[in-house]
Amino acid sequence: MIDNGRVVGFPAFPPRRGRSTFGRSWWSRAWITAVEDIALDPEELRRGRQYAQLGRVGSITVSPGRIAAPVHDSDDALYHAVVRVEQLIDTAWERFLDQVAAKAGHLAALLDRDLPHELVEAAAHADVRLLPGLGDLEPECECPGWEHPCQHAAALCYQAAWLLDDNPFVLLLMRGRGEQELLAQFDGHSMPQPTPPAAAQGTTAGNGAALAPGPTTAQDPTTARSTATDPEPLPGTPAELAYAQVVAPLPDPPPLPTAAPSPLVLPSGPGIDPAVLARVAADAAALARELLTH
Amino acid sequence: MAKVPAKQALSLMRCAVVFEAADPPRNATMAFWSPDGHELPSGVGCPAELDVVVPHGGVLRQRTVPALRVPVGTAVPVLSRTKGAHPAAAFWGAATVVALQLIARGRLLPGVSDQGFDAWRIGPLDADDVERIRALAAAMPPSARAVPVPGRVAAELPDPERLVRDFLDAVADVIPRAPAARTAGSPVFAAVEPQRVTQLRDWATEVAAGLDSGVRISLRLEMPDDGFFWALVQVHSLADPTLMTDARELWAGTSRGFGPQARTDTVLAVRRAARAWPVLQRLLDAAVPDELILDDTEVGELLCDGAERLAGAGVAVHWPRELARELTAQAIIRAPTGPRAEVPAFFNGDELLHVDWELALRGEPLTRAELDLLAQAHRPIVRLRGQWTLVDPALARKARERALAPRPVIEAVSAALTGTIEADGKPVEVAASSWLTELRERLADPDGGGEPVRQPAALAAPLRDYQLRGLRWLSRMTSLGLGGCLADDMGLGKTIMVIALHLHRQAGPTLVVCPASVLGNWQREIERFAPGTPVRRFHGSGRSLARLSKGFVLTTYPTMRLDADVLGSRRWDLVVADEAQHVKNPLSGTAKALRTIPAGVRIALTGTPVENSLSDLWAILDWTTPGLLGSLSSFRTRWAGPIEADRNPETAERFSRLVAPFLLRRRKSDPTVAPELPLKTETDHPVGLTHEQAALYQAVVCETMTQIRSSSGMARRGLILKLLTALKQICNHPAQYLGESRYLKETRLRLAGRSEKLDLLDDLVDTVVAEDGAILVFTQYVTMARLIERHLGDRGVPVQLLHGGIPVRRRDLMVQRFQSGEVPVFLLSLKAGGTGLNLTHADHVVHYDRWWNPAVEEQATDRSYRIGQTRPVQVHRLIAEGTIEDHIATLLQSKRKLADAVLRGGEVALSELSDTELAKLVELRSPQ
Repeated sequence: MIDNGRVVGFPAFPPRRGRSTFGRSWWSRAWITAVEDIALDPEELRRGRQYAQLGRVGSITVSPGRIAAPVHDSDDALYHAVVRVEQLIDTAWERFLDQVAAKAGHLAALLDRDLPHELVEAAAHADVRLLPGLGDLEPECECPGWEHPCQHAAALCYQAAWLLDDNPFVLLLMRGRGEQELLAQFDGHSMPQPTPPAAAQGTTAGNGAALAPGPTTAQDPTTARSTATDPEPLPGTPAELAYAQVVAPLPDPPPLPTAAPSPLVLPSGPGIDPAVLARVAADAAALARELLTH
Repeated sequence: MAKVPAKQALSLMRCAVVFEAADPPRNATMAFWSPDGHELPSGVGCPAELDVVVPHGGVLRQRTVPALRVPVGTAVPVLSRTKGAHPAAAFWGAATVVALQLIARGRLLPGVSDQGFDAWRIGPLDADDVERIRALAAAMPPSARAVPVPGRVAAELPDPERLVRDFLDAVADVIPRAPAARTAGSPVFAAVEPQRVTQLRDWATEVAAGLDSGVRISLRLEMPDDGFFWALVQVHSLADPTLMTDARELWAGTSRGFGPQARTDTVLAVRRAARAWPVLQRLLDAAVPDELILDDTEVGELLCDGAERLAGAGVAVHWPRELARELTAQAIIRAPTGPRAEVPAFFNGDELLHVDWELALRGEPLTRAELDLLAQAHRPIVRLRGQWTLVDPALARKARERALAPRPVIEAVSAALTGTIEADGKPVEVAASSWLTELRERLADPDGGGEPVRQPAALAAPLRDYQLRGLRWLSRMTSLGLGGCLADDMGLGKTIMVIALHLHRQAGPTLVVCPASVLGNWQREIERFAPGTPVRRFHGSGRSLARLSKGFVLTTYPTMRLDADVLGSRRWDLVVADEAQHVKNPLSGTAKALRTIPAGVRIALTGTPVENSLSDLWAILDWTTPGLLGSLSSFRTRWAGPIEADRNPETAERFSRLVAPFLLRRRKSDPTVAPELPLKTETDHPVGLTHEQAALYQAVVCETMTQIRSSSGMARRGLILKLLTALKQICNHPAQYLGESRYLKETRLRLAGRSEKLDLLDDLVDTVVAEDGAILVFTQYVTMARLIERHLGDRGVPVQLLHGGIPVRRRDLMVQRFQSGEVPVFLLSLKAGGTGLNLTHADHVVHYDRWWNPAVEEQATDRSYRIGQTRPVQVHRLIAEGTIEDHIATLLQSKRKLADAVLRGGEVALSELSDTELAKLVELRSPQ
């Protein structure tokens, strides 16, 4: 997968057996409706669906204002199909970012690969049309046919619906901005300040300290170490120092676990059965326990 | 993981050692090297050279030293030997313990390594773990990291914490792939060979997010003067669990140490938390998900199960410290109200025990007035004993209800033993009133107890100490009317303990249900150890219970099943199920029939360990002690599931406390048993003949005797020897007599169920194999040995056969395989087995047929009973009852003269008998 943020390439879909649904999510169904609304010939759409199912569409590239892919015709000819998508102008993006920022749930939903109706409606109120409508889509193809869209562009559109199902950010990229770019903008965009600390001001009766350590007890930042943001190998210790330092005594061994091992809960992934991995981890826990007690 | 022999392991641990990370992490190695030029052990690891920085004459020098590379998986067991270890080895040993402890707690995550391989790593860590790892890193001696970081001008040793982390991940990547831990299926995350899984990178990021990268959130509850509850979102860094801040601070930009993604991570974490407790959805309606006000119902919800559900999603809830939260509830089982003189009747009766809720604040039970206050409370906080107290709505409900549904007594016993009782399908802590506590203590030690139980006067043999303890246990359980399962190893004398119990109870009648193959043994043991006690077989044609006395009735499982209503019409004092594994399937007709027979008390006997298969144990104990383990379905959800599938050690421990009093299992090797066992015990196993055997036997006797009567001289002698051989073969197995061994290679040859000797052998072999023992089986016929070999092979029992035709080299190989424990069953034809063999690994010896010459038998037995034998040996002789085998054995015992004759001349001496004497000897007599 090519992904430089603004141009994202998706691997080709393999052929799908049986009848696949186009548009599991409401927004990708809206996308399909937009495509079908501009179609002049239902036969081309039917073939497009068939091509999509048979896996005749190559790797799809999504970039601002454009989706493109090579499509194999039934006579094995290869045509490049492109669908141009109307981009949002910068002021529209500003208004959209305002809407996202108004509710923490909007960003959370997008990160969870969900596009809430509410966000789309709120954006529409602010005169930002996220989902393509009449005139927003412009199919083009190298093929000699003149249908609009032709079967090749239609196939591309149907497969694009699968991409949208998995990630609504694909829609935002077609509209002009990539996920990383947007996330940085969400974060930097007039990040609302928290409301005055109501709870903390009206102090608690009696002893106000809560059970959990408050922010005041946070660690000295100099000791903070984040493995996630620190890809460089840590500097070593000069050998002279390492040999000169007094080595601390070995700490006491950790206590033998008393409770059952916490079960491993995993999302499912390609070729991954979470239940099997959970069992592997449970078996490993049992073996480790045995090794500890021997 | 390859195993390193103890000696090499010890010398490895005297070396210094460095850790060398790899990708995938499981390919990491430990390089052992000697800082003082000592020689490295041989025969272990892979020799290599290592560049290390070491002090030399007061300065640090880089030197190349010889080293041994050992894969990290092989090194794990080695590193646990800390005795006399080099400081570097001791350090990595301590790190190994930390790694194993984390893995044992389930802190293990799958991911994709930098090179794109499937890799397990340690995670997620909590703050204590991070502290521990840092403390460990601070204790790393230079010799444990003496290999300098490459590419530096001045020599640098690697960062200790990074090195420890990499080591932990390497162990985490090895353990799940050990054969003992490996679960079948896809090789990804299970096989040792690196699997390229770049397609899993997104998935791995998803796994890591919210676990060991990004953030975790928690809720802090505050109750300011306004009387409302506020929930504040706190944000914790997962990469560094010691780092935390309020969401408010994070948005205000005043928190330090959090990466640029922390806000988006927090928003997503809140959304996921809201799935566990939807009230949190309101946080997402605001621009900043930092705090929300909870109403009383929501606080109640949070107390009731919201906090628990959030905890399940990884979100901790911290309550204000000034609110008391130590309000607890437990159930109390009240003592029975009626008279308790008749204990067994009490357990078997329909009486129900009252169970009350007891609420306590910091362990002090609440008064009635306080309970009333609680019951009437409408808010989740109540002022109790001068302090605001959080009240879970479920607790308030208990305060209103005051009591649980009453329980049958057996359930109360089960509750007293486990410390929990089921209420609304959930386990609740329970306390027992004093009489139940007393009872629990009485039951708690099956192999002990101080009851003055003596050996019954009528018992004709002295009981060994452990047998007396067994009798005490049997007597205790039966006098309480509770029953139990005696699961001692074969050979410890379960039969004699039951006979002693029968005599001790002085009640009767006792019904023993057992496989047909041990019916005869029961009868003989009763006659021998309890002379004068009536014993009858309820088996075969003409069986009857008429004029039943107080003695023993013996029957088989199939007969019991046929005549369950006849047997069920009597009131038995004691019903014993021998070889109770025969009724371990509770749905079988036999098990169902057995349940219909009324008994004062029930005892199950088995020599096969039952505690390994929980549903087998349920079937047996639910018969001996109905109700103790609950219904099969509740047993599965409460015990079998958590123990077998989830391997929950806490549940397993509770379960063992519950069943231990009802299960007495002693091994021959137990230190309290072993010294009492004689080095050699001999048991005769009289078995019956099947219909097929009896018919063949009678036909052969009838036909050959007619011929014998009309012949003389050499011809007569020949006929007699032919007769004797034929009869012995029939007793062994009809297939032997009928020459069916020619079908040995064909599937149609059917052997099971045609000879009681073979059936008994199956039981013996099963028990011995289950006990991890080893067994020698002698027969004088190679043909019979081949039939047994085929039969055991069909049943999947590893077996080997030695006969005279086998060359010496192969014979030695077989002996070696047997002695090493590789093959537990060794068949020998006596002639081959008689000389020069040393088979001390055997702890059981079976004589499948008789030689009528004790000296020869003795010699065979001595194969196993020799110098070097450390385990007691049990000798089993199989004798077909009422047949020539049986008659000659009796003759041998009673008539020395004949015995001597037989000894001198062997079977030829028998050919000198008169027709009448001979007819008497070969006649088939009923054992009754």
